[in-house]
Formats: sequence, C-alpha cells, structure tokens
Amino acid sequence: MAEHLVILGASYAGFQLASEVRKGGFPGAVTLIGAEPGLPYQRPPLSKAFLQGDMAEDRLPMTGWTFFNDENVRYLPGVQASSLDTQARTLVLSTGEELAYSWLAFCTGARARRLPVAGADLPGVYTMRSLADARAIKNQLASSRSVCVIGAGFIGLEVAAACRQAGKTVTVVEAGEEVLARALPQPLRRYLQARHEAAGVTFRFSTQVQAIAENEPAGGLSVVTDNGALPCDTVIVGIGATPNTELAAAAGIHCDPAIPVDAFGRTQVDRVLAAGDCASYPCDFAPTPGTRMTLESVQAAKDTARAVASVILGNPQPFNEVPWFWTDQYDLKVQMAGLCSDRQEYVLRGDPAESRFSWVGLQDGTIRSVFSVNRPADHMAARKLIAQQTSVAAEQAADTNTRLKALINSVRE
Amino acid sequence: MTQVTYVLHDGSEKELEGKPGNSIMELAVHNNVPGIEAECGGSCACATCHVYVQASDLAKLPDMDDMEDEMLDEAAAERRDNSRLSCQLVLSDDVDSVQVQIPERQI
Repeated sequence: MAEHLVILGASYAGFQLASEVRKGGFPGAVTLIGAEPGLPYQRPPLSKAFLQGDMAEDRLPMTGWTFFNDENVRYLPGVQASSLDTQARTLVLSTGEELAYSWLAFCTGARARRLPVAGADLPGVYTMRSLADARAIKNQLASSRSVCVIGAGFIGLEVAAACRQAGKTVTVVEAGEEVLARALPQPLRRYLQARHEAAGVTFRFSTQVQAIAENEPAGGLSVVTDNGALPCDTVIVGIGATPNTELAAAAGIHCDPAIPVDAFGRTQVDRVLAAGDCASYPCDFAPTPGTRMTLESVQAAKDTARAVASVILGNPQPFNEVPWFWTDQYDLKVQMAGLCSDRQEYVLRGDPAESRFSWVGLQDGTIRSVFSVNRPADHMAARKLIAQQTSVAAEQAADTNTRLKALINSVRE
Repeated sequence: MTQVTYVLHDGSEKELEGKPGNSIMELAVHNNVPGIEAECGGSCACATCHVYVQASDLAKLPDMDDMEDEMLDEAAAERRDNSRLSCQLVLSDDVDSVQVQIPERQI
C-alpha cells in the first residue's frame, strides 16, 4: 500500500512531526489528528502572557491553515481515535472513519492531573492545561478576589504570579516542603519563594488538600486541608500531568504510565512510534545517564518528534539533546539547561541582589546544568557546554568577567 | 496593517500583511514562511527567530532590550548590526512596511 503516516495528537510533538517529515520529503500521505478544535496552539503563554491579558488569543496558534494546504497534511481537529488494531494496522476515529496506516505516531501528550478529592469538580475549581482551561480561568479571574493555587510547581507558580499581579489574594498550597522541589537547586528554590512572598503570595507547605467544599452561607469555596480550611473564590490546580495512553494500552502496548520508547521513539510494536509528553525515553542527561524519563517540556516534545521523523525518513537519529526549559514569573526570566541533581555542586555566578545570576551545576569537573535568572547568555552557552561535557573549574564558572561562551571549546581530553 | 517582506535564504521573497500587535515571527509562522524556527514560541528564550532587518527599516521597529541583546549574541548565524529577534518585532499601524532577510541557519 502507499505509505500513510497517522499522527495522533496535534500539539507540539504531533505538529513538529508532520512538519519534519514533509521537510524531509516523506512521499506518503500524512494525517494529523487532534482532539482539540482549531489550529495547534502554544501552551506556555496560557499560564503567562495570555493569562495576564498581554497576549491576544489570535497570537497563540503555532501555525496557520496555510501549512496544511501547502504541505499536503490532512488535519482533523476535534477528532480522536476510538480504537486501534496494531495487527491490521488500522484505527477507527470518533467520526467513524477507518484509517489504515503504515506508520502510527502517538503524540497524545498528557492531561492535567485532577485532585483526587471530593469537590474537585465544583464550579470555580480549574486545572491549567488547555486553551479552554485558560479562557475559563481568565473569565473567572475577572470577578475573582482570592485564589487558592494547589501545587507549587511551574504551573502553580506562574499562575500565582499572574493572579498576584492582577491584584488577587493568592495562597499556594503545597504537599511538599518547598517550591519546585525536583526541578531546581535549593538556593534558586528559596530565591523564587522569597520573590513570591515579597509580591504578597502566602505559601502553605507540607499541607495536603482533603476536600474542596462550597463555603455556605457566605458563598465561594473552602479548601479543606490537614492544616485548616482556606476560603477563596477560585481554586487552580497544578499538581502534575497524566500521560494520555488509554488507546495505546487498550491496543496491548504496555504503559508505565507513559508509552516507553527507545532513543529513536520506537515502541515495542512494529511501525508504532511515540513522542512528547505521552512517552518515556532514555535521557543521556539524567543524573544516571540513560534513565528512562518524560521531560515535560516543549523542547523535548519537539526533539523527540524529530527523532521519530528521522525513523520514518529512513535515517534514524536518536534523541540526545540537552534538556532545556524556561519559566517567566514577575520580572524574572528563569532559564534552565540540563537537569538538577544531588550529585552536582552548585556555583553562583552573578548577583541575586541584582536579579541577574546563574547557578552552575558541576560534577567531576564538568558543567552538567545551569539555572539562570535574567542571564540568557549564560543559558545559551550552557546548552553547548553541557552537550560537550566541557571541563570547567568552579572559579571560572563563578567569574562573571569570563563569558560562559568563551569556555565552549575547552573540551576534556 | 504593515506590509512585511521576507527575503528567504534562496533569494525568493514572500510578502505578507501583518496586523498590529502581531510580531514578524508570528506572521511568518502562521503563514508557513520557511526559515524561522521560533522554538520558544516568542518568549525571547531561544534565538531561533533571528532575522536581518533592512537597514532603512531598523528605526521603525521597537527598541531592543537587554535580554534580546544578550540572546542575539547566541544566534546560530552571524550577528550583524541589523540583527534582531523577530519575536520582539511587534508590528503597529505606524509601520507601513518592513523587509527582513532570513539567515541561513537558526540552529
């Protein structure tokens, strides 16, 4: 049969895959299926500029309708696959249409984890993942006065910053002891917490949410925790993501909880691939290199999609990019390259009092990670330094008279 | 509306009309103009939307801030006096036309 690539999921991984295979001259048919209506759109601004009212909705799409015509990609928004037969290589869509594929790529991403407590579905309680979520939250915030954010991860903190800047009373409830515990080195976690507190955010750490209740007769909501009840009118939940793997599991693909793939995005089923937040893959830059992970980021979604595209194009290239990520909170541009680890020693570069500094993570004399606040040059150099495993002495890392860029070619023998 | 001309690496040109409030990067991405990667979607966090602005158009565009200045040093293609990150070039009704050249590489 003529080649047919079917891509399930039309966000970062799915769209990038469609784009890459066409760039690479894939001669077969390409069908891109997305559960959400409209054009594929950008997610990072939803909890940042869009939520703050600084970015109109028409700036969110990551492409235009022109792409699908120009590149001969059949795009089916608002459609899902309802069943999959990996033997026959067919799938049935929610529209009833049956497709036969020669390649199938799972790019179904993840959904926001819901609070597993009573009251999680009450009006006024939101997750932040989709454009629909962001619109609903924006609407709610127009008349809201007090917001309770559940979860002090990236989503929680970005939402807290946006709400605080809009003048709302903000309390952040976190089950753990700190903000961003897995993602950043401790000095930076403390710095961000302090900046939020200076802006007027109240944190309740080591606090578990037990239920959300309607606050009768006053109205609004009450977040019931093991540390007392918090009245508010809006609850926004950012407690992590659950990969969308139900179809894969139903088709017999073992998921744990993501779809495990090799470094090229291949599952254990022939001609079935996966990329982005729905997948887990070996990461060269994990504290133990090769550990299977899901790097929940735009960059990893695109780069794993590129690996999958290379397989389809017949020239397999493994996913081996340095992980990078960013978050914008208040006036802070926080950029991260590499992954945080207890095995690294962190050296300060620059001055926190000036809000311009980086923490450089060293291990065995090489740069493994850099966490930057308002120092984009450090971040950009870091991606190359980490990829090359550049030898750097702590004094060099700390010395702001030396640009990190200047260290780029001093590769260890 | 602003008339934006993109000069592609192969020398061909693509002319588009941009609305106020949209950036030169967004206009390119929405219209499938090749050569602008925009990895970070316009957050001034990746330097893959680098363009060379026609010299006579430079003054029409918003000023460069420190973050963009730092990021431009890291662009893959050579930084020139007329280098800008197109995600920061937000159009307005004041600007009737702009021409930008797309560099050979963004990564």
